[in-house]
Amino acid sequence: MNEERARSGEVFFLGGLLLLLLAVLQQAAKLRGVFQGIPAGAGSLAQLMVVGAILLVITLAIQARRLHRDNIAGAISYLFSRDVVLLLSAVIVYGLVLVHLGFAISTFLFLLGTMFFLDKNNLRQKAIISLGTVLVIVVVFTFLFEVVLP
Amino acid sequence: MLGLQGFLIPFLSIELIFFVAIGVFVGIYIGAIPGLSVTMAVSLLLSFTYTWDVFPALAIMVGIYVGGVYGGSRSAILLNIPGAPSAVATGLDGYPLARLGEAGKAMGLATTMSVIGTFFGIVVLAVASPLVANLAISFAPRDYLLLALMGMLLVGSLSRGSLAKALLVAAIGILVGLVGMDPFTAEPRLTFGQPRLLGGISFVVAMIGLFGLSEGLYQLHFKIAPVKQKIDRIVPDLKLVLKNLPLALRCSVIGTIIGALPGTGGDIAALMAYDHAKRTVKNPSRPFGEGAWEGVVAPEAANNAAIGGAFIPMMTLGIPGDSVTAVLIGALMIHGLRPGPLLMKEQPEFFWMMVGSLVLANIFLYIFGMSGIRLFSRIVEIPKAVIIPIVIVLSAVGSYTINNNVADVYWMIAFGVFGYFLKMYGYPLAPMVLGVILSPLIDANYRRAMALVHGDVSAFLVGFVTNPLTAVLLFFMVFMLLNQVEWKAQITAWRQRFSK
Repeated sequence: MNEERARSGEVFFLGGLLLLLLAVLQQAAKLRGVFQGIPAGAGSLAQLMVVGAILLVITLAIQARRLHRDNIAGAISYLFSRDVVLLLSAVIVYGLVLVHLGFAISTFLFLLGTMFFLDKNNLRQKAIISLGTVLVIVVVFTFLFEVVLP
Repeated sequence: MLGLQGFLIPFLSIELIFFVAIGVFVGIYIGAIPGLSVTMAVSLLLSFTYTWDVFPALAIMVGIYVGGVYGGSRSAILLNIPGAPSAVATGLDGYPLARLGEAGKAMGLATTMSVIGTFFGIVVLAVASPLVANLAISFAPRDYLLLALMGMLLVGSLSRGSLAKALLVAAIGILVGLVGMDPFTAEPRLTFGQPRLLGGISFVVAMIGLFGLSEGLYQLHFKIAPVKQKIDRIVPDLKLVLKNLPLALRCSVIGTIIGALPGTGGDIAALMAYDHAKRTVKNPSRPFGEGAWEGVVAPEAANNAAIGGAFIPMMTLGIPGDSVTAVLIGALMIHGLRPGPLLMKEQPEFFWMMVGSLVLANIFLYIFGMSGIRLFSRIVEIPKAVIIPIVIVLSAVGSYTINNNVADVYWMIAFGVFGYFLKMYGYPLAPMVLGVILSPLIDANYRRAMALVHGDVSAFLVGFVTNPLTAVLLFFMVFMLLNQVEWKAQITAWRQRFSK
């Protein structure tokens, strides 16, 4: 695969990262540090690092821009295949329902759902694997390590 | 004579042999599960063993410690998810080996090298404890700062391709490590006014997300097929072991010294050893990062050697070498013993009992480490549609257990998605973990060193050349820095430029 084609959307990624780092810079600038002439301040390392990171992001974005002209559609198709979208959505939903449904039910549903959607064969076997996994985790963590699962 | 008696205590008691064995066995599996740490297991045991005699309590804790440090390599090799921070470096070449169908042999080699590393650390603990302890306590904040900066030089070693990308990722890692309450002034740092962020972001959560979830997404995207494993030979052949023995011993030295320094442990030792291997092994079995045996040998020898190292300041000075030895000090104190020079002098049998338990644990490490490899290797052969959801659930549970907080699961997901983007655009992940690990060390020691000279920058800089130990470290750092440049190629490029 062509390297240029393979990295489609890097400029957008770096753009997002730049915005995030600018927000961090705004936070770091509030602290006492090298910006305020206090080399041993709480914000010294943060200020130096965020400035360094911003400069690196800009340099890398210029390099990436020289390599290829990106468009958002190309970037999305490069980053997100059907399976990735499916798994990501499932993980986010799992994270959200974990507290409401409890660990055992939400984990069983997550495992069975993702296993089934990623490969539609042999549902019964997948149900057994999901149930077994949940049982093992609950037994090991709750009874052996005394971890209170959500 | 008391020393020999103490050393033989664990070998002559069936009960102690049993507890050490159980400890090692459980430790291996705890270490293999991301998020479950050895510190957590030993802390849990503290409440169980409160009413026990001191020797069985120590025996099981030592067993868990030795097994747990090694156990992290299993998931790093098989799934590219380090079970513990000290296994991050092992995954760099261990996982490519599993992708080549060599997971069994890689785990066999990791076991052998871990045993060699542990043994080396124990020998140093037994023979040169006072010497190493004196060296460790002579480290000033300035020296720790240099050590952390030397660690940051590993960024080049932990990445392939663009150094700028690796540096960016490391800088982000440092920023992540700085989030939370400032340990000196207690003021919120990079928290965006969110009280939830005051406790900081656990680097284990970051590690699990970066390596676990992102790997799952990446494998699904590229539809990476399961690899049939060659499990006919698990025990590494003698030729391979002997060839790598000098490297293992050198890395054990690194591991023992780093382990003996309070505040540093197996994670930093393993990364430094990996870097050392990359610099010194001229003809690796395969390029580093693509399944070099040397890339498994170096970190595994070093992180286990750090165990012996961590015991040195604990036993000789009463200062914990790492978080596990801090809990062990607590265990000894519960039983009315205060580790330190006085205990070494008045009741040396405790020191030697600990050394004996470590030797016994090392023997069981080889036995249990070598068993079950065939079964473990099958994990890589499980279809992705089944293993990836299970890995994600384990990552979620592992993240949750650190603070019993669901917010950590969200952090894990966020780091996983970020790690996926980084992977897709060719940014290395290991420098980020390195940044998160080293960030508190750099920040705290830089500020301590500055405070010692009352914020005088010139005095701070002069201190680097006037103190002999600092000067030696500085020399090593400059050497490492110069060593990163491929001088031959650079000089040729300059010549060509001038001739034009």
